[in-house]
Amino acid sequence: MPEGGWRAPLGLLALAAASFAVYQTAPRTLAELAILPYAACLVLGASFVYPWLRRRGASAGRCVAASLLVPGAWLVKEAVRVSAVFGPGETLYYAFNPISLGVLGAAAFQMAGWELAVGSARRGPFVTLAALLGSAVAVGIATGDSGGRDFFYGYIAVYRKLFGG
Amino acid sequence: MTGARGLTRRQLLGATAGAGLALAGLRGRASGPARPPNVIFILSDNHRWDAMGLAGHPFVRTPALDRLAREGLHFENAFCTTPLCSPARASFLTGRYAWRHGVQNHAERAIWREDHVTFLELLKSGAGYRTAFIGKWHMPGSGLPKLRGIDHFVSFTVQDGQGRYFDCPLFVDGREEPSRTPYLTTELTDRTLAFIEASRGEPFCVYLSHKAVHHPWKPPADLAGGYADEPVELPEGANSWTGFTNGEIWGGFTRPIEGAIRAYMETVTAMDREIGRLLDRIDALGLADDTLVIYASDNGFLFGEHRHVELRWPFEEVLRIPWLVRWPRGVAEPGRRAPQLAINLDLGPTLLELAGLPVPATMQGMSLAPVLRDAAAPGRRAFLVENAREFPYNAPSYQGVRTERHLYVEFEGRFDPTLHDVQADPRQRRNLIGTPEGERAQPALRRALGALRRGERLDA
Repeated sequence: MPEGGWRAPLGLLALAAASFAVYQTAPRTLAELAILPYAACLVLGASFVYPWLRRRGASAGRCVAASLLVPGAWLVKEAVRVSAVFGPGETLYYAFNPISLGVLGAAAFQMAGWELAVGSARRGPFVTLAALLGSAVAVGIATGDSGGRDFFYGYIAVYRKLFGG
Repeated sequence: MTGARGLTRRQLLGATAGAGLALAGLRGRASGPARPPNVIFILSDNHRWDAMGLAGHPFVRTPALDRLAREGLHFENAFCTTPLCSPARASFLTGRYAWRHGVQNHAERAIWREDHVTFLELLKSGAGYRTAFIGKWHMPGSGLPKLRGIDHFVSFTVQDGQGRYFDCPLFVDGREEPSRTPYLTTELTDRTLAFIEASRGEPFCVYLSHKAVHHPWKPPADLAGGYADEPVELPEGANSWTGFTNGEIWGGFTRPIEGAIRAYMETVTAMDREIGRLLDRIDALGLADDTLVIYASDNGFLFGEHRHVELRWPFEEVLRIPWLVRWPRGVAEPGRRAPQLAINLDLGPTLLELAGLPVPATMQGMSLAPVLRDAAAPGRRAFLVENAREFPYNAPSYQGVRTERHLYVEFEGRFDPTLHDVQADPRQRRNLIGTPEGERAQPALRRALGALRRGERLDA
């Protein structure tokens, strides 16, 4: 990792955490303002962190890990919330819900998109293109109206097979 | 009152048929009971008790529902016992709590059993009603049921049984059919009217089960945007994005709460218009005096109250339901409000009593017929509320007791009990657990909850 390399992802994580704390506790107007940086860190953070680290020479693996820091922390937060009601297996399965896949897919989409648009074609355009298409599909499924609902019903059907619900 | 577990379905139907024959034997006498009323039970989906003109809502227009209240009776303390579609619907049909009929949520293990006896089956076998189930079924299990005692069955299976507001394919008496009308609420009303017109001359009972007003709240084109300019005040603690955060996203919100509320109200008005059309046709056919029209919803809905949306939680906004009854021949002092506690379990016993039939011991509700006849009739003291957790929704499992004054709830998992004085604090902002008032009230409430868990009924 280049010197000061974790500054960007940790800074983004701090901003996301602070925004979320304000959202949870502040009066309505302030809460509705705080949701903007919170959502931006979660959904668009990779478009800032990934290029920032790639330009400083960080390895691809570290770039991906740093870009997924905020989504990963969000998944942990969600797991803590869900575990108040559900068991460990169900809590783990919760991470595969359409919204989670959409958040991770959005991060992958931004990373792959940067590679295609600005990054190195020497690294294998087909791999990058596949990542781009795959993540676009994930985002689309998670967010599309009818597609999102149908995916949710499928997600619940798998849950019932696994946990007998 | 405990359930008659040893009573088989055959014995139950035999007893009911016997009572019906005895009633038929009385009809030849000059002093015999009147012909049982026709019944139109209109069940909506997720309709809040306060989302009606007659309830003082600031902008939603519901002239047909207002008319029902004006010409009939408004049960102003009506509740579901499980604030979720499938369990509430099963309770309406069977007159039993969810812990007894077994449909505790939407999970596949909480299925509708084919041996359940519905009030429709008893009306048919005991009093010769012609019966119809038209609309949303939505019970866990494999597809649509094989209900006994139903002459005409219309429903849908798309979107896991939720249906679609537009161009919803139907199953009509076992055959798949495309919709004849684009808008589902209109289609279901048309089919109800067709059934009524074909049933004249004999008592009929229609269970009209609308998809409205379940999300995604799509009104017809002429009503879409009708409330776009109406100011919407959000409840305390809520913001425009409450439906998207803290796991509330599974409530089905795809827009900020203000937009969702407006679309919801537009869909309410669209449904009300169809109810008005139904009432007008009943009048035109000369059936009004002999037809009991009941309007209710399966449960209410949360729009950000307590920072939650949708269903499942033990709050007044989702437990309270609208309940309106019009029967010119049978409701005394039309236009009044009935304060007696009424719950969804009471529908079956009420209709059976009005049809002159015995109420099976397996039904846990009580007949509201005395309240129709007499404003001073006693009601119940308390009832059970319950929820079974369901992945991936936030609400834990709980059981509680609702009296005229208090709502006391015990949760599973990491949630502390809650106790609210719902008369002094209808928004449930102050949990009385740990306060002197709470310590005075809690013992009796815990005893009441224990009694309800054992299947006892707490009448006034």
